[in-house]
Amino acid sequence: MTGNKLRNLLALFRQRPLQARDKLFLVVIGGLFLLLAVYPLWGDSYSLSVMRDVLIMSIFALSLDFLWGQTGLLSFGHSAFFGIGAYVMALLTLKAGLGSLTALVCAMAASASVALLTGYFLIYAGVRREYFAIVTLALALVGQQILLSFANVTGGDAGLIDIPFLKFGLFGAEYTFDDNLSLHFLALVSAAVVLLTLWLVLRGYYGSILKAILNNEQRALALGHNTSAHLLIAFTVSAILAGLAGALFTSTQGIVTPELIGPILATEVIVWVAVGGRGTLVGPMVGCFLVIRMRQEISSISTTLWPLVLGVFFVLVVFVAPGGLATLVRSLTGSRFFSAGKKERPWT
Amino acid sequence: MSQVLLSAKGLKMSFGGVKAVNHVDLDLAGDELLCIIGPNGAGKTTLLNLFTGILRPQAGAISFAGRAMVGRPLYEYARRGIIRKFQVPSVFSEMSIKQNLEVALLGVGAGGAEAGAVDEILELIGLRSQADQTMADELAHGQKQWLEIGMALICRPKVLLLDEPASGMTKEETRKLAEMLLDLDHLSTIVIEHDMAFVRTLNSRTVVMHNGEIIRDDQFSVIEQDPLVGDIYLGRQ
Repeated sequence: MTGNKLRNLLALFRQRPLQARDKLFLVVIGGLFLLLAVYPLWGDSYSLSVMRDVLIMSIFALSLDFLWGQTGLLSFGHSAFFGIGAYVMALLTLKAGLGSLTALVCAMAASASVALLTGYFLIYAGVRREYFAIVTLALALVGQQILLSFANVTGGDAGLIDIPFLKFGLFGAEYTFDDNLSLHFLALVSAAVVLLTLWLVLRGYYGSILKAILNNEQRALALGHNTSAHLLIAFTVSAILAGLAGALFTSTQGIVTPELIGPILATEVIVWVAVGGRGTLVGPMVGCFLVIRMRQEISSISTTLWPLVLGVFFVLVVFVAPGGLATLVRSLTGSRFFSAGKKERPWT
Repeated sequence: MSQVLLSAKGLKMSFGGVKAVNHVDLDLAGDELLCIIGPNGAGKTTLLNLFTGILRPQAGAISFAGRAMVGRPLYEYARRGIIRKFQVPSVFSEMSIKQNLEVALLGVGAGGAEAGAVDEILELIGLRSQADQTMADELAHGQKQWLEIGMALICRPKVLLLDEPASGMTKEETRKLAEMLLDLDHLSTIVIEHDMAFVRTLNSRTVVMHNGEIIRDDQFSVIEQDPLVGDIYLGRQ
């Protein structure tokens, strides 16, 4: 790579000076994560495990928000990448006996490979909008079918159990994440790192390019941007994050089932992002927390009631705040903190 | 006059039975200003779409600096220096004026370029005071035209293609635009325009298109006297 090309590449990630709203973002997010860090002081064991699941799932929500919220590509089968990450992690640690770190990297690489392959043919063929959503939905369905068809490897309907906890070597010592407290901090740090990284990337010049492509792809092309390459990169990065979330989820639960790759989880993650406010990063994390908490509360009353409540809640959000709760907060407070532009219309 | 920079040979493009561009040969020199005029539907914008890779000609060849261009990806036209302003202002409406210019700079691989380039263009297009806070969507039509021209200029193009740049501009703005175009050095420019007063001010080489064909190619002062051109504009041909 020549010096010029390297300089131009680095320029994509150059940061703009911090604005007032950036500082507000950092203060609010810093406060929120600090609160979550001290949560174990009063949270019981069950609440801690719920919070851990929410934090891991919020990485999954962030992965979809990065794609859908920033580029407009709606992956209707995003659970495929979550599931691939989960199953590769499970199979490599349980059956191949690989170390956690190697398996984690392989899980993310597997999700990335599938995204790269499918994304290449879709994105370079000009597949966008609802057509992209429909084709990616097929990914989740095909993925689930493959899992069921190769039951001798994947465990079929029952999935796999006894998946080892994450184990990392650090400074010569080996540390296993096998108790509520360590798992809580693993999930918390992972979510914080993913959120901060995405925020930094998006507030830099690369974020502007993605925003430009979302806003007017033809114009971006006519200015020399290889928009298909940018979209493919975003799709792959999104799949890597979904794979990371899947792998972490499997390691903390100790079990993996075909539901993790199916259309129900694929729909749920869309609801989290839409409810929270797509394109806002924090909104989908909040949406994830709210919907998961709601599911737990409703399911404790009746296991059959949840899909109905979820449907009504979602319709209500679309009617009251089409851009999700983030827009509602903004319209109530007049703040541009959660600004995501006109793309707040959830289905366009 | 310097060497031919952009060249079209035997270009053909039809939509259904309509021949939008029919056997067009056109050469543009390295520092030339060329106006294309003609009634609606004459094939002017289609010709620009062919020059920028938005359309692929059904026959014929386009070369830029001696390099064949047909079949290359759209973004490569811009990276090689062919930059276009669309007929309907095409800006990133949900981004600030400054961000629009920054994205334009990054597109041609000049992301590492100095911030001075953005300030310079902001000054030129007269939008400096509102560059950070105003979204492109909030601009008036004429200001959007200026922004898009600014986005094209910041890319330091070798060929600048302007599709009806004076549309929606005030008389004063149109005069300023004409002055700016006449001042541009080391740059080939193609301007499509219906505003004859504007074209008269430029008084450059002018091509008249009608039914997809080039029927006249001369200085505007000569074209203006041509009765055939008058007939075409008045619908008598």
